[in-house]
This record gives sequence, C-alpha cells and structure tokens, in this order.
Amino acid sequence: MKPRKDLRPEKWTTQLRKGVLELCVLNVIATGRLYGYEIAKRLSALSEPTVREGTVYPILSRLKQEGLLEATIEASSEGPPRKYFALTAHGRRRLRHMNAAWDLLDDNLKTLRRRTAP
Amino acid sequence: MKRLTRSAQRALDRYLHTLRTCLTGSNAIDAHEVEHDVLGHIEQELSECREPIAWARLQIVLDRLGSPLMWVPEHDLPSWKQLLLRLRIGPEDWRLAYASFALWMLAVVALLAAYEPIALGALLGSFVTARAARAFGGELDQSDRSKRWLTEPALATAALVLGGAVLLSVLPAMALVSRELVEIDTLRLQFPSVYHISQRLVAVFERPVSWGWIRSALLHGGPWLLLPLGAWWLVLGGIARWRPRWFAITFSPGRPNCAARVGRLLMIAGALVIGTGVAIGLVKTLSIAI
Repeated sequence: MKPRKDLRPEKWTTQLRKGVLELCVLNVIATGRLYGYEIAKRLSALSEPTVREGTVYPILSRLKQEGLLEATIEASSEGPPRKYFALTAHGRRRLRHMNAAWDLLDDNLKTLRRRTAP
Repeated sequence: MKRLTRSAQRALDRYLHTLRTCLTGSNAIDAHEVEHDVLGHIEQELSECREPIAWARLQIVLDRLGSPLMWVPEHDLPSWKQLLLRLRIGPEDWRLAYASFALWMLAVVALLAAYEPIALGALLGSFVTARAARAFGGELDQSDRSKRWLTEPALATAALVLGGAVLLSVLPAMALVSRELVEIDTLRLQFPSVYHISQRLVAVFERPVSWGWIRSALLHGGPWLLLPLGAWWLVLGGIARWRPRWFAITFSPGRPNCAARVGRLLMIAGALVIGTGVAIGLVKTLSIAI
C-alpha cells in the first residue's frame, strides 16, 4: 500500500523542522541583535535546504506581532537600511520556557528509545 | 533595488504577487512588512551582481527563499483564503496552458464533426488562453519551454488562419475595385486598357475558387493579379522586417527575431511573385507580337 503523502519520511522531517523553526529563530536572535538576512543565512546553514530561507520572514513578523521580538531600523553602509531584531523581555521568558520544554521532550524521547531498544 | 532584465523583473513581480496573495488575510503576519523584508533579502543577495540581473541569477535567490505558498501553515489562514489560494496560485500556473490545449483539441474534434461555430469559438478561446499563458509566463525561459508544447498548437493555428487571411486580403480588395471600375463609363472611353484589365479581373474573380481557379487566374489575370499581390507581400515583409514588434504582437509573441526572419522570407516571396507576374506579362506580349 502506498503511504499517505503527509506520512512519508521526508515530509515528516520537513514538518518537524518547520515546527521547531520558531524555536531556532528565537535561539539565533538570543545570541545578539541580528537583521533578517543574517538570521535566514544562519538558519539555512544549520538546517540544509529543506527549510527555505524565506520561511524565516513570516515567523519574524509573527513573533514581532506577539511581542516576543522588537525591531529597529538602522542605516547600513553596505546598502539599504537594515531591520535588526532583538528579544524582548517577554521573548526571553518564552524562549526559556520553550527550551525547557524541548529539553524535556528530548530527554523523554532518549529515555524511551533506551528502554525500547532491542 | 538593482536593475533587472525584463524576464527577471516579471519573475520578481510574480513572486511578490504570490507572496502578497498568500500572506494577506493572515491575522498573525503583516504581509506588507514581510514583502519589504524579502525584497531587502533579495537586494542583499544580488548586491554583488552586475546589472542588469538576469532571470537565471534571480531564480537561484527565489529558489533559496522558497515558494511563499510553503511559508504560512494553511490553518493560519481563514478558510475562504485557503480556497482562494488553491484557485489562484501554485502549480496551477499551468492552468492556462492546459486550457489552451484542451480548447484547441475541442476545436479539432468539433471541426471533424462539422460543428463549425463550436470549432471557431474553441479556436478563438484556445488562442486567447495561449496568449494569456505566454504573457503570464513571460519570455520563454527554461521553466516555460515545456508550456510551449501546450500553447504552440493554438498559436500556430491562429497564425496560419490569420496569416493566410492577411496575405491574401489583397485579392478580395482587387475584386471589389475591379468590379467598381468596369461600371465607370468614362474609364471605358478614356482609359480603355485599364478598363480591359478590370474586365479580365472581374472575369477571374467571378469563377468559383478551386485548384483550377489558380491556373485560370494566372492565365487570364496574369501580371495584373500577381503584381499587386507581390507588392502587398513586399509591404507586409517590410513591416515584419523593420517593425518586428508589430508583427510579433499578432503572430509570434515574445519572439521579434522570428518576425524579422519571416519578414525577409515574405519580401523574397513578394519579389518572386512580382517577377513571375512580369515574366507572364512578357511571354504574353511576345506571343501576341509573334
């Protein structure tokens, strides 16, 4: 039987990566103030081409709307003005919470795999 | 923003249109802001490229950015927007090309079944959709070449029908003029040779059109039929040669070079027709003299 499209391994991996992309974006910005292009490049270097660079921009817009990020526009000597993103206090709290949830999930999964390993 | 080639500019406009269509309506995302950020990204990527930036170079950047269709989870959008998105964008870029081919096939089937009005309507529809597909796809770049096979039958058929009509349009005009001339008495008295030529042409055009008609038209109408026809082709060829854009708008969208080539061929054909007309005229004059 042909597997359902959304359950195929490559699709599942892409969905998983997309799912954690928000966490990745917040973690990248936690390293310091960055502009959109830099964030997209850093993430694409980490995640192979399955998650496209453009995916970052709607996430940045959403996180900004949710008040997790603040944006400041600054002039650049290398071209048009750049929009720098930084975590707000709310964003830092949310990131701590998300990282803790991820660590917990990771630990649980590792434990589960150790127990069920043949 | 750096200067782009026409095809690259079209590709960028299309991409931004898709982006706006995908993101507008989402409460969580500011579509205008994302568009601005994406433009900044593209500008940064192309900052070291030489102007004008070609389609292929831009496409690399757009491929890395990915389709805006994949950026927003569908559940982030209202259901009407999801439906609209499916109808408006995506791989459905091919819809026009497929529609053109389907209408062309319908025209062929209707013609074989002798439903001429349906065939004509379908042919017209296939031509319009083929032109729209070409206009939407921009110049025939790598990604659009495969669409060519779907749109070419409609465009070629329309070019043949329309081209034939334009090439031979001088004949009905001549028939009309010669019929008017034989009615003028002063012409018969003052310019008897012009009158006789008009009479001959009227006789030629009154015969039913068939393969035999061409032979008798050449025999009776001879040079007086071929000279205006050749001159008309020379004029048309000149237009296609020196104003290829005018010709390309109707017959070969996006390929003015092809129009210039056709123009050269048409001028050669026109000259040959004139030469044949002159030769027939000379042979007839000589045979009468002998």
